[in-house]
Amino acid sequence: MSELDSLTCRRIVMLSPLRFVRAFDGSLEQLSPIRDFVGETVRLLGGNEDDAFAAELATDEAATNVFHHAFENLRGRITLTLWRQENKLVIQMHYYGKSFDPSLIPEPDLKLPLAERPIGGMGMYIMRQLMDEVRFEFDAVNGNVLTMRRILNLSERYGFMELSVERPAPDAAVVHISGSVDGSNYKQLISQAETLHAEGVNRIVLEVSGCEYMSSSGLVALNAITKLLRGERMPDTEDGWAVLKTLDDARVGQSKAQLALVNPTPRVDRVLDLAGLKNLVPIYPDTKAALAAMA
Amino acid sequence: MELSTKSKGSVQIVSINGSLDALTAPELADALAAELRGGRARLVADLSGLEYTSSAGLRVLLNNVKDARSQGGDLRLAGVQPNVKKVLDLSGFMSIMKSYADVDAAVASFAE
Repeated sequence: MSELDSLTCRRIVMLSPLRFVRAFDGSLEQLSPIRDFVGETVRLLGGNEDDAFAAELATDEAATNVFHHAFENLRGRITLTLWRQENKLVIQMHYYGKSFDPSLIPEPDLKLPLAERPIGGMGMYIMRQLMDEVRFEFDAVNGNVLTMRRILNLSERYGFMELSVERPAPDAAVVHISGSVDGSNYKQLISQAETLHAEGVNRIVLEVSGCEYMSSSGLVALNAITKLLRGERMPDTEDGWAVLKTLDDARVGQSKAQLALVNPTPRVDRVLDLAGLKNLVPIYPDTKAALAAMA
Repeated sequence: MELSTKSKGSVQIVSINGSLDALTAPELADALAAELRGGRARLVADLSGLEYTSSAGLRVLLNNVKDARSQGGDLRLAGVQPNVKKVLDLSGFMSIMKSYADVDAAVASFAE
C-alpha cells in the first residue's frame, strides 16, 4: 500500500462520522449545484469516480421527480444529508410534499421495441440500478425522507479494516469486521482478540457481513485467534501460510468451538472453503445462534 | 448546456455540449423538433462534448428517434463519452439507437 493510500485511508476514517448537509430550492436550476455538491461530498467520503457519478445521477433523478411530482406548482425545498456508514454511502433527501406509492411505479421493459417504449418511468429505474437500496418514507407532519445507500468498494482501494466490539456477556465478545482483512491489518485483528482474551473473553464471534475481502493473512489471524482461545501457544504469524497447517486436526470438533463466524459474504465464504477453514471455524447465520452454540 | 447545429449534405448535425438534465433537456427537444418540422429527419447528435445526461435527456432522444424514423430518417449518435454511455447502457438505449465513434462515421452511415 502506498503512502498516499494510507493517508487517504486515515482521512476517510476520520471523516466517517461527519454528515454533510445542504438545503436546495426546489427549482430545476438547482440540479447542477446539487450534482456538484453530491459528487464532491462522495469523493470526500472515500468514493471513487464511479461512486460519485452514480450518486450524482441518482440524486438528480430523485430531485427531478420531487420537483415535478411532489412539489407540483409550489416552491419547495429539499435538504440533502450525506454520510458514510461503515462501507456504505448514505444519501438522504428530506422534503415536504405529495406522497406516492413507489411500488406502483412500473419497471420499464428494456426489451420492448422502440415504438412501444413508454416515455418516462426511467428515473426510478436508474436510481434502483445505481443504488443498493432506495427507500421512501412519507410523513405529512415531519416530512418525507428518501434514503439511498450504495456500498462503496473502499477496501480494494484503500485496504482498510474497521473493528467494532460488543460484549454480550463477560466471557463473550462480538467483533464486527468491515472492510478487508489483509496483510496490512491482520495483526490488528489478532491483537484485538488478545486484548479481549486478557479481559476474560473465551468466546468470540466475528460478524463479517461487512467484510468484503479476506486474504490468506486473514486466515492466519483466524488460526491464531483459535489457538489463543484454546489456550495454546500462539503461532508466529510471520510464518504465513505454514501456520494454517499447525492446528492439531485431531482436536477439531472435539473441543467446543470458541471462535465462530457470522454471515460471511459469498466471496469470503469461498476463501474459507478453499482453505478448509470451515471445519475449524463454524459459521452461523446470526450472532445469537453463534453465541448459543458456543455457550 | 450549449447547442449548435450545422449541416453536411442532407444530414443535420446537432452538437450538444455540457450537461443534459431536466433544466436543459427542453432546449434540446425544441432544437430537434425544429429540424424535424423542417423536414430534416436525418439527424446526428454529436455527443463528444456531452459530459452528463440524466433520464430527462434520454427522454428527448427517445422521442425524437421515434419521430425521425417515422419520417423515414433517423437520429444517430456520435462520440458518446463514458458517463453518457453508462446511462445509455443502463436504460437499454444502445440497442435502440445507432452509435458511431465520431460525426464523420455517423454522417457516412446515412449514405449506406
